[in-house]
Amino acid sequence: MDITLTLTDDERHACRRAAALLRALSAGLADIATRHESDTCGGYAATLDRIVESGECCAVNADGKVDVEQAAFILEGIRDGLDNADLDEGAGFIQRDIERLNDLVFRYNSQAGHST
Amino acid sequence: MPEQIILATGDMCGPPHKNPGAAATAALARRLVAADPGAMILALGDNAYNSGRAYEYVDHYTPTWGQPDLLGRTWSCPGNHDYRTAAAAPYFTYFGEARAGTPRRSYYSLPLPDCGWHLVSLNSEIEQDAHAPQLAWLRADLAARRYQPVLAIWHRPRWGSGAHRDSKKPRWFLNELYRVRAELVLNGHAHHYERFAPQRPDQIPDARGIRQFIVGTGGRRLHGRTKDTANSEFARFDAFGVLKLTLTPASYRWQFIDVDDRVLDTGEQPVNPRGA
Repeated sequence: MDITLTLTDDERHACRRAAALLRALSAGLADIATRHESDTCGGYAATLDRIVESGECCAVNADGKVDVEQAAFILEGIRDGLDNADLDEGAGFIQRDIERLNDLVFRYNSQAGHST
Repeated sequence: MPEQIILATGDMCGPPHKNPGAAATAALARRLVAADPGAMILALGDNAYNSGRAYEYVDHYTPTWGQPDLLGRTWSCPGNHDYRTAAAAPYFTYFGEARAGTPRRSYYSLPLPDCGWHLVSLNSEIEQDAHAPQLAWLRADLAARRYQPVLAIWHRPRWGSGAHRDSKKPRWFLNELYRVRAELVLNGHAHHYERFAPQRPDQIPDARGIRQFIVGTGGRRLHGRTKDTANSEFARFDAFGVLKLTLTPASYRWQFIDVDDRVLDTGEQPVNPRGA
């Protein structure tokens, strides 16, 4: 189901930063020869890039919405790792980005419900 | 004393290698229902992994939690994995409008006359903010309720010490619930058990506040602790199980029971005083 979402500046920035982290993770995973995980993380980054490039209004389909949610889950792991290492500022930035990604997911779900 | 038994858990069914506890928690629920035939079951979302598809409910939920003796007494709220299908349509179809709502109105309430409580099922996977229709509905529903004590359920917890940690969005629900001195909130999402002391929506301890439970112990692989959270009174990260609540007009009693029938956590508290 394609849904057109209006994105805030914060949400676009969160998508851009999340994409950067996922691209770096994808590259690292490729280096340690976990091809499937590398490709999958690269796919999530590509979805986020496409959302950022769409500007204020972006068409998101069901697969794209799941990619955003999966990206948020991966960011949760990075946040928890930074927090465990007492790298609090980075963990805090990522927490805010997770919230913005989840905002997109909730808005998609709301609009999908009204479209049925 | 009139009472209502509630059995609650979330994050239950799916492929057995990833949901190793689902059959055992369903068997536990069956034993508890045999002891209390009037018990209600509350499914706290993410009931059929990984995406809440129709075949996942048929293949994974129906053989365990979806047998008639359990399904016929189950009310639910949707989880994030249910929304991996378009508008969570298979979830709503499976449980039916009276037990889950609809894709367009995915929240509902239910008076519990046997114990004099009000049950509210909310949807944490859609918008919840001040402008959201769901919040306006909640406000009106609480104002019109017949019974004063309130038990609310939704999937994604506001506070948590395990995976996923805290979620800010449900604060909108909590603000409305705190205004009417609601007693209890049950959540899933994080795969562990946790009980919080009564608190205000801003996490200030308050004996007349809302007590939150996380019961994401229905069968999906368990998660470990990721942080310490204020007002968390008890948590277990190593046990599949079910929360049993005994609601009466004057009090609520809780027991977290694992699949070996051991009571790992128990307690009782009066309902919140209301009025001046």
